[in-house]
Amino acid sequence: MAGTDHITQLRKGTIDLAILSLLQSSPRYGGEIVSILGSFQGLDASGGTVYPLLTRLKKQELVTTTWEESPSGPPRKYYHLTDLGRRTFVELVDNWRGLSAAMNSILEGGSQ
Amino acid sequence: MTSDTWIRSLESELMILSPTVRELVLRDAREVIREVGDDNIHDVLGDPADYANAARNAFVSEKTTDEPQAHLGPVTVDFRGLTNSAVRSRLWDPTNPRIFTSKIFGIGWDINLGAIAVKLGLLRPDDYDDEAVRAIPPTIWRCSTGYPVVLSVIAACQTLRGRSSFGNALLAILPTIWSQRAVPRTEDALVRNAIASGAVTLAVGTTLQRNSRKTNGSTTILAGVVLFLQLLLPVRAGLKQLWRTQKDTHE
Repeated sequence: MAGTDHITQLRKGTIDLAILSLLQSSPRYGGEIVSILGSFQGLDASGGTVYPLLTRLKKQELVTTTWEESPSGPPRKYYHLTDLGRRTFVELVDNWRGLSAAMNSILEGGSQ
Repeated sequence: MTSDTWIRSLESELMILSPTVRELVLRDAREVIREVGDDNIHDVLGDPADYANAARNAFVSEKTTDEPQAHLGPVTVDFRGLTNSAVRSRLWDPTNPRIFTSKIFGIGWDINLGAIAVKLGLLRPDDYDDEAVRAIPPTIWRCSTGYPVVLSVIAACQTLRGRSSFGNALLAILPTIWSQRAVPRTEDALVRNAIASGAVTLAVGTTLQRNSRKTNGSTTILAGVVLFLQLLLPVRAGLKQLWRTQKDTHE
């Protein structure tokens, strides 16, 4: 469906920012991130979306991982923001606010 | 920069696009240049590299290696598995919850063994990465990569003794050579080795079954189990090593 493609395009990048934002407050493990993001209906972020993104963020050195003991089962991988991740997060938040204000204005039929 | 130089720079940056799309982008750019004039090219269109980048983002398909090369009606088709490591990785992708994935080489579907391991609770979706593969203890890695080599030798001996066909020996030897050519200790080397292990098990098992005149699907199932274990066990060993190392560091 064409609409689904557009929604996917629109959501692209947003989930990256959402993950960085969650990790800004404290380190979290993958399942926790999936569960928090999954509770936001609009984000529609399942494990199949979030885990590959976490892998990519790690490859881009925006996050790093450590293993922590888990109360259930084997140790869990916790994701932390790196210094680069923190700087990128601040930059993305600035951009997001500007973009969001501009889009709201356009969607409400306004002009510059 | 003149319009000719700007267009030539843009053209050289757009080689990744198909000729039709490239011509479309160049035609649009030429039209804008005609409107704004040579002097204002840079102000209006910016740097050719940036313009090309935007055009590439707009036109290059979002198709990833998760998706098959083509469809035959509802059936998926992909023949990139021998040459493309990202396509091969679909066989073992714990981050992807879907069990059925497009065949990595051929028509139809393969099973994502990574999803099975996660569903069985043997692995967490994000446990597996290159770090876990690099941490596989050398002895386990040698045993794992030695398995297809040993079985290939057995397959070759079966052929030399006339107990097996030449084709069966090739089914064992070729994947083994292909797997041993992989750079050591990468995610792809692990997947290649598992594929070769499955193939040699199938080749040797088929010969043994034929010689004992029993033919049933057990060899195929056994080959599948070997493939699965050749992925799961080394990764689990690598993870245990990682946990141990981190624990020792903390203490």
